[in-house]
Amino acid sequence: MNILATARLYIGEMVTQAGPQMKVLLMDKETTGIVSCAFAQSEMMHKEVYLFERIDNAAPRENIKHLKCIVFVRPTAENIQLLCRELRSPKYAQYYIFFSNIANKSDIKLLAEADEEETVREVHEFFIDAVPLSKHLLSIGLHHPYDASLRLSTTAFLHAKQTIISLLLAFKKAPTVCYQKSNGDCEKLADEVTQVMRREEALFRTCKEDTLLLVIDRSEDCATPLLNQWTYEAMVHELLGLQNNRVTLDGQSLVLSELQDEFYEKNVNANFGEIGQSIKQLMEQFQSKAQIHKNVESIADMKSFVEEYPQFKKMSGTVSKHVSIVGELSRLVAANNLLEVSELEQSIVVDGDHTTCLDRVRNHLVNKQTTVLNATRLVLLYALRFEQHQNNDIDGVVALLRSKEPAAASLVRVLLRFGGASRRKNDLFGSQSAVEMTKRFIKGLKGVENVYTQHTPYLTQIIESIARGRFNENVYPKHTASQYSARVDNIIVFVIGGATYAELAQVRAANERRNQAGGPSVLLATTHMLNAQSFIDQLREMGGTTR
Amino acid sequence: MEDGPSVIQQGFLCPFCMTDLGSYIALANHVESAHPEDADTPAFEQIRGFIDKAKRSFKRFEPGIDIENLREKVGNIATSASAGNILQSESLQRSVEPLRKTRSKSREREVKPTKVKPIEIIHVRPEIGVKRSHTDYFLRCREASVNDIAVRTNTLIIRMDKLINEAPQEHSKRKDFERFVVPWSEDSESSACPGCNQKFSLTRRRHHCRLCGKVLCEKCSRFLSFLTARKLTNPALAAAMTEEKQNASTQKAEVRSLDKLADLAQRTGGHLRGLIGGSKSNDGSEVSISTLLRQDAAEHLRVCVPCLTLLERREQQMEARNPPAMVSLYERLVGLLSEMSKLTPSYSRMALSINNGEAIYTLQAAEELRRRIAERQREVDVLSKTIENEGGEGLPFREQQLRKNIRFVSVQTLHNFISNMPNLPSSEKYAELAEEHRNKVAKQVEEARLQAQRAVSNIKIPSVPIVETKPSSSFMGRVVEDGWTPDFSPITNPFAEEEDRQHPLQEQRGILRGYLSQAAAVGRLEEVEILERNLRDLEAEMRQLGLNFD
Repeated sequence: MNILATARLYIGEMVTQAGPQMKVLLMDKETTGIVSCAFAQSEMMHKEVYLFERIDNAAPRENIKHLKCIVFVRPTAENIQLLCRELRSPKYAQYYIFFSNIANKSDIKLLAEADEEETVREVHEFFIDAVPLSKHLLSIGLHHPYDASLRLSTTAFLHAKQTIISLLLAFKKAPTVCYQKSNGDCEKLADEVTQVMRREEALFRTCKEDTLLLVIDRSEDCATPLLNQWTYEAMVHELLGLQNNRVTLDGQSLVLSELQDEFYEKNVNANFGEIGQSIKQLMEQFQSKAQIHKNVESIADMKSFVEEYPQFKKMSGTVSKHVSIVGELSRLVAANNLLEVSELEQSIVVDGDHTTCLDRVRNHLVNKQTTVLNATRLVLLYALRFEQHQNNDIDGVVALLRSKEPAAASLVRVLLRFGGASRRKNDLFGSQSAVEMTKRFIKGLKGVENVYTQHTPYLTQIIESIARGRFNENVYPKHTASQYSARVDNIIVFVIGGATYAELAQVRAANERRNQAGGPSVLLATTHMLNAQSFIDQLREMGGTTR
Repeated sequence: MEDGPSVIQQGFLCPFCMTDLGSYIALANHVESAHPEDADTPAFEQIRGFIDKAKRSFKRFEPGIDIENLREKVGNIATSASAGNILQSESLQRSVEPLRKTRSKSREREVKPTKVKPIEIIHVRPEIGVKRSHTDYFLRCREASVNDIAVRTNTLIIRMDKLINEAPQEHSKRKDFERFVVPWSEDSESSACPGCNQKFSLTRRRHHCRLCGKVLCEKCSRFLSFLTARKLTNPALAAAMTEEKQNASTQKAEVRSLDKLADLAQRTGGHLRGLIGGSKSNDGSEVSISTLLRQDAAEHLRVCVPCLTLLERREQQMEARNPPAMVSLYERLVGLLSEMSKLTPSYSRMALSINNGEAIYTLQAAEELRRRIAERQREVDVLSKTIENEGGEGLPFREQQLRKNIRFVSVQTLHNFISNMPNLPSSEKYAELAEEHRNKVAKQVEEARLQAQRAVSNIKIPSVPIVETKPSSSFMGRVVEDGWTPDFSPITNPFAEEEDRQHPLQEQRGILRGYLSQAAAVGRLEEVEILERNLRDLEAEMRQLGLNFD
């Protein structure tokens, strides 16, 4: 299941259907994200799509009657209205309309009635309704999906449902639907997805049943988004912030795409030390190539140099980009004392020795070098981990934090209400199951390979348990109307309330394992991508406190 | 499978001819004697093979079934003959099912659906997902509503035609005539203007749309010039006028176009001529069309907004039929680019072969092709530059951006092509290379011969590694594949004596090379590949026969 490839196929098909001639692509906010992640702009231009427009752009667009227009929008009421207006006074010669999801018949009729000049040639539903950030990651890009009652807001719920439906149709899957029993949203989402599958029987007729869809809520694992990460992609998002695979550095927007950047593709999951190594290699390669440049003496030399030019330019582009990103990352690591903070985070969630942890958290809180964000995440992790410890001193650390973060108390309260022990029914820190305890014991004997990456997201356990057929059906029951499929060859996990790049790294690893040793293919879909900052902001929002 | 025989046969069936043999021994004998293709494998091995085949088709509808277990069980059945069943494929699974249930619990767990062997399906090409078309439904809905509009617009145009062409000259009669063509609605019917909802009063007087006859106020009135009206009622005139406008914009407009217009007016519109006659009766001059147009520009009809919208739409539709000059330039550009995307890889192939010193292509042919490509490259450059600069600064922003992007893509594509074009050696250098290559091949042939003497083995002619140069541009997609055949023009000397004639293989080689260079010159990559392969085979054959190549 490669959602990026599927998205590219869908968009390519749109262009093919519109045929030759100069074209313009008319999109909405969401589909712009989809197209920009699936194709580079120049790639689209090579397909004769020369202009890109937003349908919700208030400024009037000028008429260019010799253009064909590919419309790719979500079938929302707002878009239908805008599209009707567009068709009443068409700016382009022909329109090829593609909806990213199931459209209402009545809306199609509205459009038909608006198309008085008969400019529309095709109307289709192509099911790609959220942003394919990577081969195995689909994100709606919907920040702050919860309301104050810690439930999904109505719009967020609808959007999540539509995304799941389109995702299933994009992969032609009619899955077994499982959900996290302890969460009402998950159950409702599973329920409504199953209903749509039944209602749209015609669409799902060709779909395979070799897939398991699991709907879980972020509250299952609040630890992962609070941790510092050390793999390249996750680090970039944690420290610099990724937005649809773009990062802003020194006011410059850089694209980090596995599709177009070979170096990035290779190192996306590499940890910080390894990236430095790879960059060094890349620079050496680059310098040895650049050496040629210096030795250019004759015209023949210059010519052969120019022949190598596109590679050369491309290579120097990626080198400089990654050098500046990694440079900035290492500056931040040093400035924010991240190695120490991260080590403490890991010992809180993995070792869980209360006394030492408490001491060290206190030390960090009074240390001036500790940033507000890091102080907050340490306190939140401490509260989450030792919520049920008899001697915990949550009030004490919150009091210490208050000088840096006025909303400290509220944040801790919301966190525990949202993802505390009473709400989550799982064994997040592996303290209850004998198996997990033994695992940790053995790990302790063997010594730890890397103190900063001991923790693995809870999602990994879930995926492994499904793959091994040891899926806990009491915690994650299947929806009553859905059948267990004969074999589970694909797992789609939808995480309500945001996923992290650390989790994506695990999903990537699972898919790589599949290539070597077999096992199900995994796809992660979510409402949005989290880092510690956005997760804390989300908690703040749920608590109703503004900054 | 799905539509197999409805009657399930059981017993000792021969898997090949489906006859019931009664006992295992009889079956084994039968298989050995009647179906002896694999005579040295035991019969039940064959049956296993058959079951393997069957199981492969099972997987289509029951992928979770544990094949290993099945095979083992069926193997048991076959050898022990205790169960006494050789099963036809569709009955196989059903009969094995109860068997499986009797197995121990631990066994059962192994058959758990999640335990799969997915390696076989890993490298599936990503396929496009579900699509659903609403085009038919859309068109049906549209047809209904569009017809209505077309009828309404046509009514307006017919009325308009009457209003402008049959109107009496005297001003006083004009109003009555207009009321006669389009009945006006009564003043008493509406107390407020439907456009702005303001009440009519002494200062806000009632007016009438001349096309639909509805009441409206001064502020909501629009005025349709006779010029526009004439354009709508007389499409031929409209076309001529647009042409004139274009000519004027390219500053080539001369009296000629005006003449043409007048001429056209003469030929087409009976009404029009009547009008000309009416206005300039005594003059007799035919070039009065310009005066007429000027006069038209001053006159106009009072219309309401809805009517005007309908008419404007029609006008736009008429204008859309005349695409700007840039479109044809662009078409030409795309044609050139797609041609280049065929020729360039073909050239790369040639150049590679020549740089290796091979004699498949001639240096001249490669140079010729290079020249042709260069020609097209220049043309693309010029053309895309023209597209970019044609309109100048006066164009709207998006139009400019569009042109810039077209130029950008053209330059990028050119760049790609050029950087993918290897250089050709000079003719002296080529002679050296060819010599080198000949020696190398000779050495290889010699070695191969020695080897062949030692052991019977296939002579492998080292083939040149061919770098696949992928056409980077999607312009490839636009190429309509058409048939292609090389011209047959054998190079034979009619005066040659019989004994001077080439060996048939040599002749064949000459023909092949001719075809090959033709195919390469027009960029038929597929044919080039086939021909090259043939040529290599042929040369290998010739070498074996000890024939020289020229």
